[in-house]
Amino acid sequence: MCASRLHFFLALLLCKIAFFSITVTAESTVSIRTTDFAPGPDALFNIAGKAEMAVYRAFREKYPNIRPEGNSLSLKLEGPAGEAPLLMSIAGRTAPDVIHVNTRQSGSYIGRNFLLPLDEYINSEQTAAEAKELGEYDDNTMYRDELEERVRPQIWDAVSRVDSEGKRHFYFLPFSYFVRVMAYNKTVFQEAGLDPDKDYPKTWDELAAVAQQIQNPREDRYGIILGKEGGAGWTSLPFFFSMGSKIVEREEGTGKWVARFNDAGAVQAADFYSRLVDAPWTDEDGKQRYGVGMSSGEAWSIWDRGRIGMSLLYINDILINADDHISSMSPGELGLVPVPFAPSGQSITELHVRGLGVCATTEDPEKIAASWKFLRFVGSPAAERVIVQTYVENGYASFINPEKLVQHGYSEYAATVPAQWKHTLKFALENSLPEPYGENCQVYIERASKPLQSAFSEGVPRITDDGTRLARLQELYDTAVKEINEKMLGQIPEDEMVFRRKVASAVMLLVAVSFVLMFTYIWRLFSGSEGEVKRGFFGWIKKYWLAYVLLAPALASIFVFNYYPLAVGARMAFLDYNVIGESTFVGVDNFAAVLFDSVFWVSVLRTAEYVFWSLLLVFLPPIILALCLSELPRASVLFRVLYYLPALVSGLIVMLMWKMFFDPSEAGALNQVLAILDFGPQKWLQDKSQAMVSIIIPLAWAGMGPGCLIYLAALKTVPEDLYEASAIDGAGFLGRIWHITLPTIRPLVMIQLIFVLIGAFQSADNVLVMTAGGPDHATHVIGLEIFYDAYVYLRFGVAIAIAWILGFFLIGLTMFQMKRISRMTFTTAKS
Amino acid sequence: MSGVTLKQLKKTYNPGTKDAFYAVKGIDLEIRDKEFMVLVGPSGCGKSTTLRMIAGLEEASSGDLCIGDRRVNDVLPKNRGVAMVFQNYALYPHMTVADNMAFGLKLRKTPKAEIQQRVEQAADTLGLSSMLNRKPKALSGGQRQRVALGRAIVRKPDVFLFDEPLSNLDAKMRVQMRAEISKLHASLNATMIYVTHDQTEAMTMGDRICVMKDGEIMQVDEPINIYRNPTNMFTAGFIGLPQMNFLHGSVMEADGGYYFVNQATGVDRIEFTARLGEIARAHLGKPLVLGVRPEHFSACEADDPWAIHARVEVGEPLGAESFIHLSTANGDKLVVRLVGIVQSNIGQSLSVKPNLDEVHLFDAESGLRLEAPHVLA
Ligand SMILES: Nc1ncnc2c1ncn2[C@@H]1O[C@H](COP(=O)(O)OP(=O)(O)OP(=O)(O)O)[C@@H](O)[C@H]1O
Ligand SMILES: [Mg+2]
Repeated sequence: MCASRLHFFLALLLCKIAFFSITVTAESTVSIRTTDFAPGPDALFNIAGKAEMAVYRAFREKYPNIRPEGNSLSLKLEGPAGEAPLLMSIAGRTAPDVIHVNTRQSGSYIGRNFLLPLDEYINSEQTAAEAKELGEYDDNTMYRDELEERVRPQIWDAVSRVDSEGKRHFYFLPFSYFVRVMAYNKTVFQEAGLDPDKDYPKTWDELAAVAQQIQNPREDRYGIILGKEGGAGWTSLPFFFSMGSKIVEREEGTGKWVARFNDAGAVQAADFYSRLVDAPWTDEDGKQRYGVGMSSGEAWSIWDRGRIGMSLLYINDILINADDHISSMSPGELGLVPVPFAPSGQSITELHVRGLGVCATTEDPEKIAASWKFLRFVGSPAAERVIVQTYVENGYASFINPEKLVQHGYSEYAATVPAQWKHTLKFALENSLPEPYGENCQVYIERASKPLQSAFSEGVPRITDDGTRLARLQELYDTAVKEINEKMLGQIPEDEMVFRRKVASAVMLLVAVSFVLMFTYIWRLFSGSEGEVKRGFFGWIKKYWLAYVLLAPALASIFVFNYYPLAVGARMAFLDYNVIGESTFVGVDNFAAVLFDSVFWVSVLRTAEYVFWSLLLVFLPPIILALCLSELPRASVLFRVLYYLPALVSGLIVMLMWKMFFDPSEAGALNQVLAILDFGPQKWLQDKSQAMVSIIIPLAWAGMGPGCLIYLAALKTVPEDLYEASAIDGAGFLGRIWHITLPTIRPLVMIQLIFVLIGAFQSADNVLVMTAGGPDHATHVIGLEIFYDAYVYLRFGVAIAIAWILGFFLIGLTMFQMKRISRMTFTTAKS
Repeated sequence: MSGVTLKQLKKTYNPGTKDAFYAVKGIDLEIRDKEFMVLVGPSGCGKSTTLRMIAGLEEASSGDLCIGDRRVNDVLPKNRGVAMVFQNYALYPHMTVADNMAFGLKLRKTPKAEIQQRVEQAADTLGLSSMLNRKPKALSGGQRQRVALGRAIVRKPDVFLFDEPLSNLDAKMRVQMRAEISKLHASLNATMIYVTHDQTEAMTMGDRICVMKDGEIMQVDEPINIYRNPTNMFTAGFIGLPQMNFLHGSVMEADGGYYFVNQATGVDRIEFTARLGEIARAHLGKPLVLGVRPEHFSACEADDPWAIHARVEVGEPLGAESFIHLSTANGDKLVVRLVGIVQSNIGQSLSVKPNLDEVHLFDAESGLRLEAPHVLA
């Protein structure tokens, strides 16, 4: 049985080797890995996936020797952290050859040298015709005319960079354009007494009025979906663009990107937006109301129920109902119009471009060539035709951009697309600006919501006096812009920088000195006692050689996997570290950046909160529970099992399970329990004041049993007669616990305390899974800040600097722990 | 006045279940004020249970328990005015010697100065002054038990309770501590109740001894009385080392005299003295037991009228005395103590005769002694 299995495996192995050698010798087949347009589960389930598969097949037909394969970035994360897996894979040199790039990421990708310049394949100087004339035409090159067809003028600067010699380098090619437009639900409009074909808002004033007319919480009807928390900055972007705000801009002289979203237009936009969310008004019944929108976490599910009038969402240059929230609405229900015109007289929306580039970690020229063919193909008219065809054949003709229908030979369907949609798409594509795409502009997405959030929490939109309100908004935006410029661009005046470097040096010195002190302390703790007989080097070798031989593998692995990375990491703290290409030495600037970053200090505060709650909910309860259980005369085994069961569920699953329990809607498991107890639904992870506790609760739940068992075991070791002696000596219940039980389990309590403390200080993974730091940084602990800096903002140097500072915070605890450990004795049997 | 009185005191473990166990079966005992009472008995006879009921660590199932003239059945241990010394010392491992001793006083909010004075005095008495700042771990067994004693002393209780306090110590230490506890009793003038299964301790320390068996009291008396006049076979066998010998047989009348005869063989006829004859007369033919302590045998000629014939199984010459283990023809085992070094070979036959003035007659069924008590000579 076993032998035949072995034979089977050997045969399989031989087959594989044979197959492998065939693929190698065939030479012409090149495999490339790609983030998009590769076979995947999506192809089965949704139309977009089907279309991608069709493109993939068409490509294979055209280039049978190139085999694109899916990538294996299986990790999916929320919010800005969603980009982390790809960045991690680039850092780890396991990235796909063809990577997805969107406008927002492009600046950082290009700046960090993640993308291979496509110089070899793109000729932006000549048109194809010109090249042919000169006899230089190359079929594999993309000439200016094709480039202009594919790359809309607004994003020319996003996909390329001009170097110091004035030469333009291209880094990625778009395959799809998304624009934000205003969708409205015609049924809701009718219900509110509005004519859906005429009364849709064309200007800001109309928008406010229409939304107010629709808004009627008593009838479960709301005006418009508006982000209020972390998403506010993004939702409000079209209003800023329409007011002519630059948001971010490349500075003339330095070529650096500077935040500008505090200009006059911006503040007016912010004012309008925030008043939509929270301005006071009185409804027909004389009831005081605030805002005309819906901002809660369930907003989109209410929209899906058909109870919200308007929302801003993306449509696609090919597929109009690309967004899930409108994909099932018929033309009779769904209205699509451009974002309303601002007082400036403009309606300018946001353009989000998706494209592909060749990852710089790809070195094999054949793969690079194959990758180019691939990314050129998927954005080509041929691919577009395949996509359109797939949509049409699957019955989506009425949702396709009519221009594309005509272009690819489906004119008969063009008339089925509502004219309003067609105009809106055309208008939006022409009147749009790309989302910020400069280097580090992802930070913008994270920070731009902050002034709005502050405004909401201060109640700024409720201020009736325009002057006061605008002034306060201006202040908030000025502060935000100053901060973002510091973080994003390192834009700090020279004298300020000198001061910061001084502080940073001092702090660094403190950190370094304390680490040295700690190491000497630990060294002394563990070095042998003085009573040891001196036996000389050879005598020593003779006695202990075997011990050292046996220890060698362990020592080596600790050095290779712990200390070597530590040393490398220590160096990285002083570099502006680039995963690909040169890293520059920046001295203490990373430390300076950390110490003067408000978010870092917020994260310190959050960590303190986290530690506090951990102590209260993770550390203490098992002790109390163990004390209670040990007092229990009967059924204690039952309770022990009950409390231990949760520990059988593995960590991540516990988190995900609780994340489901914490569903903020009324259908959420915990909210249903609350409902039975006659409490209203809570927002749990989405509420700033509850999020932190909500993160700790699962830990408490899972840690209770194991923690309690350890203590119970220790309590069992307390001799019964100690309790009796104390009873005769006069100790009551509390006296007994305080004087007898606790002192006996004290060493264990201390060790657990240290474990919980250190664990709490370093926690990041569970927070990432539960809230990713939100809402509004309410759970943004240090560990998470390190994660974000390293893998989202790619500031590895800064991340390491924070890690050192965190280490510094933990020194005291570590020393204590070491002292405890040094007191434990390990003995060998003496022969 | 703090004698301890037990009236029909009972302890039943797991009452009402099939595991119900009657550990103490309704005992009556009066321990006088300032008396040193020793509870002895074989393992499991309920000594500790009785003591722990007095301490309040175990609730009495029924009966009355009085300390002084107060009924304390429902009084918390700390309010009974008792202190207890445990076999395993039960010292608080995380406290120093001084803190261990002071613990009870601290809980009672005794003024600091007084605590210190009492602790120092106790430490002085017990020779612990130099170790006050040590933790129990750093003490020897004897020192630990002294700390435990000290912890009891400083409290100045009315009643001291000891549960086999010396059994974890080596022989020499035990002798020393035994003397110390006796000395303490003399100087403290307190009531002490002392549980042991070591009869040397019982005999040497107790004012009176209470012998227990299976949750019942067999006999309460002064040590010498218990030794000389055991009221039943159990006490007779339990006190005295080596154990008293029991010869099974019956008494028959012949030639105007009374003879004790081994039932099985009828051989070893022992002629009774007048005193024994007097007692035996009423029990002719009934199964009886003749109890003879090893020291009340002496070697004799084989044809001696009182001779018992036996074979040597083991000889144990100890110097001043020798213990010889014998077995008689009908299988009764005897241990005899002979003065001086007596050489004996295994299997050798030996004749011994009892000192009939010192033997006891017991009813084989009830185990009770038949004769009237001796008048002390
Ligand atoms: N908690 C209990 N449940 C049931 N039976 C018990 C319990 N505690 C003691 N016993 C029984 O009660 C009897 C008397 O126990 P006790 O401890 O008083 O004996 P002791 O005379 O002190 O014996 P030793 O000399 O071995 O200490 C024993 O047979 C014991 O098995
Ligand atoms: Mg006992």
